[in-house]
Amino acid sequence: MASTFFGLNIAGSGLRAANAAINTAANNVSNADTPGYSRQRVIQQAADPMRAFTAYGCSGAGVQTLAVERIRDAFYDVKYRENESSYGEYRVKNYYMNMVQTYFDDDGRTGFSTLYTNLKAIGTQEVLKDSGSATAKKDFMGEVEKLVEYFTTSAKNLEKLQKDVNDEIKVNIDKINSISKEVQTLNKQINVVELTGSKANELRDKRDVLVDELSKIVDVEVIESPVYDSNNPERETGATRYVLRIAGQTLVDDKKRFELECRARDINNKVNQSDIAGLYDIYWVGGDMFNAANPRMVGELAGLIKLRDGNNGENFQGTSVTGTPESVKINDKDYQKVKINVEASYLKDLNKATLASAGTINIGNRLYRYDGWTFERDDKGNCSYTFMIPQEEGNRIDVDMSGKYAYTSNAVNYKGIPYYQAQMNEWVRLFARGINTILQSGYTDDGKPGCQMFTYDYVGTKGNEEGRFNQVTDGDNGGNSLDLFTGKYEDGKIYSVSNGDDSYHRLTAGNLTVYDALKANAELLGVKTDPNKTDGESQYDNMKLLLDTMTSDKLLSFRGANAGEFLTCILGDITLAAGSAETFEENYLALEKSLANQRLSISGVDKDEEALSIVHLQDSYTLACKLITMYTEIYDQLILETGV
Amino acid sequence: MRITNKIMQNNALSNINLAKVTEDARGSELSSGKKIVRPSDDPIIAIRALRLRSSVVELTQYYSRNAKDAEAWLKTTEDAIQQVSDVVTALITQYNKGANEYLTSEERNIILEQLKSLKHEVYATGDADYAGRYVFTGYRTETPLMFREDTDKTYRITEQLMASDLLTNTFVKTSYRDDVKNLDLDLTDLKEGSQSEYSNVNENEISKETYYRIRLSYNNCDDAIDNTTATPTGPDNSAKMPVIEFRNVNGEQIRIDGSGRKVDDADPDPGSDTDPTAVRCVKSTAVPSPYTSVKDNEAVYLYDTGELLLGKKLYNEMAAIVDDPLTGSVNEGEIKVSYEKTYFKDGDLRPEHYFYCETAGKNGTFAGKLGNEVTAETKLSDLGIGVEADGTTPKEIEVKVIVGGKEKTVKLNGDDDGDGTADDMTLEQAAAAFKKIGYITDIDTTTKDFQKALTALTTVGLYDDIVYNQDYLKYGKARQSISYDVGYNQRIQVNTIAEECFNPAIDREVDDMIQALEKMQKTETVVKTLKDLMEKATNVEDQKMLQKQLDAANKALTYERQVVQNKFSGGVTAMQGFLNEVNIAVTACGARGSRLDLVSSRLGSQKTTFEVLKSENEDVDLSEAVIELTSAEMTYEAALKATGKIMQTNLMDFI
Repeated sequence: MASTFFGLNIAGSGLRAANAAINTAANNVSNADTPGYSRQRVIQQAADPMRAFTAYGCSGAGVQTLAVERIRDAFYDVKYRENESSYGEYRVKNYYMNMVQTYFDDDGRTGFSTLYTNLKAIGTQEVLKDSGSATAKKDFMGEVEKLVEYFTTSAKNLEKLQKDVNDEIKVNIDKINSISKEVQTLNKQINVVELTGSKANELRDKRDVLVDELSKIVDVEVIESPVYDSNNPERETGATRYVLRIAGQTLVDDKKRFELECRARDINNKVNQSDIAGLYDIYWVGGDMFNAANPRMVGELAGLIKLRDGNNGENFQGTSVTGTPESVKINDKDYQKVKINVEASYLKDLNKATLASAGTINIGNRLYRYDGWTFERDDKGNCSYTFMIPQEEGNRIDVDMSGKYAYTSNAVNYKGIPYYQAQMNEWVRLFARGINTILQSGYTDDGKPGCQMFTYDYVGTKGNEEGRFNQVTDGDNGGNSLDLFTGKYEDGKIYSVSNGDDSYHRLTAGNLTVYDALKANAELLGVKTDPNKTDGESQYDNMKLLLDTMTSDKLLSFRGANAGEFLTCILGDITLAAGSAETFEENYLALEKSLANQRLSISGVDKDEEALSIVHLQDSYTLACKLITMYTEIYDQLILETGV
Repeated sequence: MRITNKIMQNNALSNINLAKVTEDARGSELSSGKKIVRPSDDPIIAIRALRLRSSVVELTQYYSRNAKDAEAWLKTTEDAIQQVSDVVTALITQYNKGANEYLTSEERNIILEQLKSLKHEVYATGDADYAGRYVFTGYRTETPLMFREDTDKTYRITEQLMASDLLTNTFVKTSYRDDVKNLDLDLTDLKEGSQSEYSNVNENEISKETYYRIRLSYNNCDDAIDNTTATPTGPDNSAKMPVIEFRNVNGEQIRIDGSGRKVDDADPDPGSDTDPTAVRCVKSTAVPSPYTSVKDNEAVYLYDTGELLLGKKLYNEMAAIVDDPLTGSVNEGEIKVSYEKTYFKDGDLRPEHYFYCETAGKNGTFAGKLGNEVTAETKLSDLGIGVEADGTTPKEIEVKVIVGGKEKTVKLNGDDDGDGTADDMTLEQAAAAFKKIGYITDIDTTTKDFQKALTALTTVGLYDDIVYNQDYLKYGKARQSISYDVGYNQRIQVNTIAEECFNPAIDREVDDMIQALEKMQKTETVVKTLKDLMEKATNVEDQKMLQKQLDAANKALTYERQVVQNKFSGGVTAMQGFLNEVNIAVTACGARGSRLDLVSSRLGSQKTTFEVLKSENEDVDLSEAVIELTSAEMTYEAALKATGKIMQTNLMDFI
């Protein structure tokens, strides 16, 4: 026979259960619009029945409220985060490629094709018609300068873009660090709560939101495993070990956390020739370099790295053929020279060369600093770069280097900013060399030797000379560097050029300029081929040659097309990249919505549902109250009136 | 699937956004008029647009500027040549008058005056200019065709002739040898009061002689007489003696100059006193008349009238040579004559537009050492560069030049062999020295080295002689034709070269005529003087002498009249020839003009086609865009309405 008050207890448990459920519902409703909130529900079960030792056996003992749990499916979290990484990557790609696209777009006024056509069809034609006219030549030079400005501006724009990307990389690294810190704190708090046996629903939601956010930046992986009592390996303590990995590397492991840092490269340490100074390398604090070029990494960070360093997979790589290098003294400084043989065609063509003049090179898995190099093409057509490695503390080579693999940068298989810079540089070198060769072999209308048109503005030191260098010469190593850019080699001849030479290698889209003398005086234009000054001012055969060079892919070929089709080639690359980035962004955005809805479908609060449950919970509550009232009456009856 | 309010909200928002994206795209199409905003919207359109736009710009340049400029140039040229044609026609009229009618001396004088004034008109339009550029002077559009003021600049002119340029001419011999007085006299020099000097004149002394000559393109050339030998009255001008070069029928290279005749590389042979073979220089009015005293193998240079008289044998030798058409690169029939002229008058044709010539540069000193061909082996001393005051001993010199903004030094004539004296460099070595410091670049063929070196030397002011038309003497010389691009791979020559229509021979032909008429005038005056004297004469002896003189003068006048008559009729033929040349030039010009018209109209339609293509490629069809925008608008509104409906209610409203 159950206790007299057994019923009251049952009613009480019902009242408590209803109360808990109503509170949970209230919490759900209140958080219906809270981002990351997972709806909660009360886990309840019928209390263990009491054996009543009566004919009817057991008697129900009411309800037991076990826990308040959030409803969430970790599977969708994984899917959602994977998608977020991809979406984040394509979002930044789309944004920056759109910028690149805007810079290169030809609106019919300031684009490359317009300027080039004006130069070719108007500027050159007017000089052809009247090569003695100072006005025609001045106008022509005006068009030339506009084209030069186009390249310097575009180069500046790309530099700015590279800087923006670089800054954003820093911001993202900071974000990763702040998220990891919060996750670390949350891990502690959650375990404190959950060791007591209850669920830290809100904290977990908070942690999931953070990881969602992190997954935009970089691909994440979460491994949560229960912690067992070390004294009793069968028993779960309630605590969990939460491991958060990014790009395959551990960022947070329960209470341990690893921090990332950005180290800016100094001015004498560049990867690509046209890189801006101060690009960040990412390191684990107190540890190794974070492999940002890891091709499996996804997310905004991966996208940014690809944009900043993307070289279309054409990185500098080769094999050392030097044993243990001896020390040589150059300009009172000790150096070790390491010769690296290269095979890739883009490394053999100096028009395409992107190697920075000073930076770091990885030989046999060790980083060395170099501050100069010399390119050489031997009589058999083999090409090599000899690096000048200053002998400083920690930069000394004392092992056999021969046969070791060497590289200065990673192959980043994406057409990022360095790729477009390299393309512009290649075009500028080809065009400058083509036009200069013609003009330098020509003569002005009054028979003076013609001068070069395109050169660079380079302020710095060269050997012992200091100052401004404004003329491309035939190189300083035997004066045969020009052939390295024309690709016309004689059998059995050795060609070489150094990074410090006044060769076309030094010429980039960023430092392209019109030769001072010609800029000041358009009359120096070499309009004719014959030095005979008595031929008259209207002799224009060299100008004709110039026009032919500008229009024929046989005389001057960039990617197999004529010089004027530069933009067509580049724009092809850009539109392809921008178009695909846009499409992928849209796709992943659509997927994100769908996955977010999937998650909402499970974890989201539905107002109708809650309304319904409130209505019936209120009923349950009222009913439970009614029961208590009823029991009160019963007890009144029993205690006050029965048998009194 | 469980749908929550949030999901519905998300979906609705996303749909509204989609509708907005579409509406925005259609809206910007309509407002910008372009199919694409960014190239990636449609790369094909974007890249095609680049090509089409560039084509439109090119065609606009061809059509609106190049073709128009060419047209204007051709028009200027045509008008100017037409004027020459008119003047030559007027000359022909005068010649016809002279040839066909018996003329009184007054009438003849009128013709003479007419000829003199027409002569000024022939080249009057030669300096026609188009936008400040002289149109007939080839590439030398900055140089007028004629001298604009009297100039005393020495030109060494080399004319290139053929056998057909050798002319025969008739001359009335009025000079004679007075053996009694032991004097050479000319009857036409007779003046009132000096008649007794010509007392021994005889009718038989007067004769009509034929002589052979080359008419140079200029008269009043430089005196080449060595005045120091006969009567030491003036300077030695023999260095200015003309040079005749040709290849005879045996293929031997003949060179005749003041020192004699030279066959191939042999030493010059001056011949004997009775059979001289050198070029001799005299004035045309010398007595005895040079026209009648040319020896068989010599050439006589009459510097004042610009004639080169040829001995009979020499003439026959030269007239026999002919170009062998089978040897395309050599002209065996070429006769080169070079001579010097210093004084040019305002209106004279500038020789550089016609001939190979050498002259002084800006500093005005004409080294004149270029009579010999310049090659890579020519020594600097031969050009008067890097020599001591004696003009021959080589001297080491340093020249400062600017290379790439920096001053650099070139050493010429350095002591390379270490013998303590400067080494005379060749032009090739000089070129190498300039190349070494980068002042000149890119010497690819050794044959061009000397030109590079000459240019470099000229630029630094060491060498100042100017050579015009270096290629002129080569067979198939380059013409200085200026062509304009008037379409893809379409070029039209716009200029007409002076020698096509302003032939210097026109002027010389008229000169010849004027000379003959004036000579006749002179003889007429003598006849008149003698007649007057006859009337006044009282003494029989005098009358007898005067009669003898008058007979001789009358005979001379009769001959002169015949000569003039013949010259007029011969002149008509010559002038017809010139008129033909001019007309051919006019026709050629006109033909280019009509070709240009054709090209122009084709360009016009091409331009339109490309503009249409360009527009079709990148511009939106407005009506289509409006319809699409309206439909996008409707979609957007529908999405809004639907969302409004969905969001309005939930279960609570019904409980």
